[in-house]
Amino acid sequence: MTIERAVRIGVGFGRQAGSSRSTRLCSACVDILQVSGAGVTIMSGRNSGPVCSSSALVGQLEDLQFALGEGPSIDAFTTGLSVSEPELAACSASTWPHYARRAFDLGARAVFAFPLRLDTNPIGVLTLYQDRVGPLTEQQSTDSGILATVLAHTISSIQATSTPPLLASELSDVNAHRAEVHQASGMIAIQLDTDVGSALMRIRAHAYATDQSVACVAREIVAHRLRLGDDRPIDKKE
Amino acid sequence: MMTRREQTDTTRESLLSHTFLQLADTLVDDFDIIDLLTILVDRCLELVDADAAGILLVDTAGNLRVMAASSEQARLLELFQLQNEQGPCLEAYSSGQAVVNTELREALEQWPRFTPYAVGAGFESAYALPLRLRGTVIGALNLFRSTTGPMPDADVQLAQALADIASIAILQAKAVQDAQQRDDQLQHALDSRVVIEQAKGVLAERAHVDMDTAFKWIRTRARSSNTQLTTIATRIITGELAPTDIAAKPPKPRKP
Repeated sequence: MTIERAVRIGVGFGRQAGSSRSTRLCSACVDILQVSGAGVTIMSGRNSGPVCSSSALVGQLEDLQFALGEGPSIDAFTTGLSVSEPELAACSASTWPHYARRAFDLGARAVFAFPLRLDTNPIGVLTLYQDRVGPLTEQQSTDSGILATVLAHTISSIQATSTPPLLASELSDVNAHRAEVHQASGMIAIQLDTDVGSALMRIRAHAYATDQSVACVAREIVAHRLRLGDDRPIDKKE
Repeated sequence: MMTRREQTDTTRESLLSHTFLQLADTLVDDFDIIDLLTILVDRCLELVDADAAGILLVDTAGNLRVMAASSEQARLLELFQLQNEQGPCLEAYSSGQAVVNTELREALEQWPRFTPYAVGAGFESAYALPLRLRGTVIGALNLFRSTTGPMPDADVQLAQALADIASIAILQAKAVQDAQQRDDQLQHALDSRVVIEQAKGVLAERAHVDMDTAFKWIRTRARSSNTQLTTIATRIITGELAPTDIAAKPPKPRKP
């Protein structure tokens, strides 16, 4: 059983040749685990950045956690333990009050997260999404654990190609859409005379209140079409 | 005239002395453990009759990790051993003795999960040599061959000699800690990237410039002061550096 699995994992990775290594990772996960979607994110205590997602929808689901500051990936990273939520709709309001509802609206029915670890501390998370209710099979869970290790090593070796302190371009490129959010945080920090962390919270709150994506709000701020504080679009230069 | 065998031996001798020199060099210079072990696995394949090689090392937490592999396939073979807690490398590590296996196909009982996987990957025999440090085993060097039949004794001894050199180098550099640092680097890099973007936003807002200009200012300042980008970016965010301090051309020229 285990041999078949390992061979499948090996073959799964091998089969994805052609695309960049980081893109290959997520398609291999979906292929091997037979789940609806998979996303890989690298995380530090303060920040996170996507490495890959198996579809645009998974990309949205991953961004949602970043936007809301809550969700299974964040829990898996913080606790270092895998997270299993086989029925998102039944997930108690105290777990992820905002994330659970929004993810459900996007079509997710079950979600699972596995910390990527090399040593003791996780460096990121593998998050799996299912479009139907139900737990992972025992085999899927075991395979996910193995994949999490393989992913951690792969990401670490991708990063090893870069000159510190820069993020390897392969990892950095997929983060491009987050860049505007951080730029906007810097701008809002000046506008509101606060620190960048609080500025990001303000952007998130604004996005949530106006039912827009964080990326959307950030784009408006960077383009000087939105200032926060007065929470209304600026008309013209006074 | 030299016989073919003698010629091969001469080539091999010079390659060998070159390898030892290269490994010795790493003992004096600042060296990266990954570089050293990568040299080691690559040289192993040139010097001995093996088709794939990998190295497992124990980390500060006591866990074995794949530190170098001659190919992606070799790396997966090592990972597979770790995940399944069986295989030649683990055996050499736990026993401290060389594992000399001539035929993988006959080792099904010994490693019931590993054997079919390795054979499926195209290998016929496996060897593992412990990395020893003053009586303590710190890891193992794994060699795989795609042909049947024993590896010459001289090859096994040579591989062990390379493994011993690597062990000494590791001790000198407290290299396992370096490996730990490498993992921290990923997270540091992630944070750096965010800080630089935030600093661009701060500059753009304060000096009314676009993001590209803001980045050029940060980069120019980092280069001229020989400081890391992240350090400059952090100083901008904290307000320690004002736009006028770092603008290539001040945004509003001051009147005298």
